[in-house]
Amino acid sequence: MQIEVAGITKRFGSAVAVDDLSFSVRPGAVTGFVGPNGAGKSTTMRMMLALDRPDAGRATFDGLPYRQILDPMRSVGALLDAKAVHPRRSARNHLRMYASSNGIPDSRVDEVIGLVGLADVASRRAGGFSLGMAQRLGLALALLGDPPVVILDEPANGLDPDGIIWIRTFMRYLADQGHSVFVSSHLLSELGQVVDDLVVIGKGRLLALGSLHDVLGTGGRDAVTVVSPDAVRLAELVRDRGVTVATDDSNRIEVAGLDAVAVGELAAAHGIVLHELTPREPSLEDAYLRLTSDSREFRAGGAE
Amino acid sequence: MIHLLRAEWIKFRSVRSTWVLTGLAVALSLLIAGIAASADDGGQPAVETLAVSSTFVFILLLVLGIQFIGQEYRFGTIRATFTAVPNRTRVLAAKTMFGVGIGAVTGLVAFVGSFAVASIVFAGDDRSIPFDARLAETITAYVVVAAVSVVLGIGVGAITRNPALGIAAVLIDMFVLESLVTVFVSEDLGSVLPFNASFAALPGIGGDTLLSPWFVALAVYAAWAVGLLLIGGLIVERRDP
Repeated sequence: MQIEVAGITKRFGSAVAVDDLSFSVRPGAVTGFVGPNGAGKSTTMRMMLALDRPDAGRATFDGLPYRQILDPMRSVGALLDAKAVHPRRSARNHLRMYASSNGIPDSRVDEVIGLVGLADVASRRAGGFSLGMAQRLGLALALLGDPPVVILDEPANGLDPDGIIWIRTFMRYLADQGHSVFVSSHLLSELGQVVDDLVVIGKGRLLALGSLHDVLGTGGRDAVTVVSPDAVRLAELVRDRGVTVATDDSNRIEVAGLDAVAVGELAAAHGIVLHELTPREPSLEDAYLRLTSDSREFRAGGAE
Repeated sequence: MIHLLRAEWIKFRSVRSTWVLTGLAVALSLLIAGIAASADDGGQPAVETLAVSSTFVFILLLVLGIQFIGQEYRFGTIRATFTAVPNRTRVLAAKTMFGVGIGAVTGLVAFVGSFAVASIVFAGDDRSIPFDARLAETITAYVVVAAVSVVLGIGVGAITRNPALGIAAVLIDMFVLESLVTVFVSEDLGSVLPFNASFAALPGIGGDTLLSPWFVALAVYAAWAVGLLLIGGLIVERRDP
């Protein structure tokens, strides 16, 4: 199932929360929806699910607006706010009430409870759940109708490292099964390499769009780490080529703008011994921070 | 719609507060019927002892109606509810239909229980509550007002979308506003306000008001419930949850 978001816009009073945002989400892929806190990610997701009314634009699922989908849990599963449970209701009953509203049998409730690993606590009150358990319950709700589209708002928020790995693996599994997975996070590193495509927003506007590699290419640079007993001389040679070099101790330099082959050949031509020559992938977080640096609402340090 | 009704039934039965409210309504009606029957000196028809508990029962059912929708907003489950069923009017319609059923059943159980308790008390004095038209009128009014009270609560809950605020609004109206209007503005105007109308809807209890006989008052009370429900429906439809 293909998701199309076209020119969607939301204003709260005079503030523009989401500004003419367009993107699409394809099946069989995990699409990361990233941006700083307050960038408009949740508002966009709520508009996609017809909870918030957009001031302009629309979101469609295989051409249909959300409101026109019959028994939508069978088409689109959503995890918006994992803590939104009646504290005294058991996890199983929480799922049952939503399942029955879409004509989903109770047997499926027990199936998803097993799938997310909550079988032992399904009869306990959801109000006593830890954030990690609540996120699993939220994911179970999203999966109830075995929907081709899964929309997850900050599913890794508040999870411990084990939980984050679990949720990444789960998203990968869903995408490999052919689902469209659309997942938001304010920390790209939380999603990591599980993401195939990226939609990056800041202050409600689209900043970058495309495959993970393409988007990071626009924000990252080639870099090579070199360790050599003759690092000082190598740094001078590299600098002569107009390339940036950073040194953190006398033996180690960071070269940005030349690849490992060029640095290695340069060293060989001048008889410089190398102890290490490591191409550094443009870091996910570096690229992301560079892309969104102008759109952070709150910055540490306050040096504007 | 049958799926949505089943969903409401699961919501109802899976928390304790709903059972506390309905259980309290029934228990209170039995207790009050017993006390009223013991204190009854035969000066009025015996059937009236069965309706004395109405005010308390109907307040509890109003609160139940407010909780039906207010709790969903309070705990945030309303967002998943509207994600599962994007047609908000259908959600509210299901809650209303279910509420009518629960209100009627609770009212019926409370009334029949009260009848049993009062009959036992009266039996000691060789009295009984006759099976007559008056009894039929009273039970009809009692059950219908009970069902309408839940609907009115759902309307108030949909308007306030906050259970505490809804309950406060109902109590202030019931115990302050309607009395003030009746005393200081006009007795006739006061009598058409919802809770005064609900008292007048019970045959023989409400006394003589602008809305006599009882079924006129019952219709006015129902009109208030439907009106508030429609306003609540518009608000729920318009506001982002």
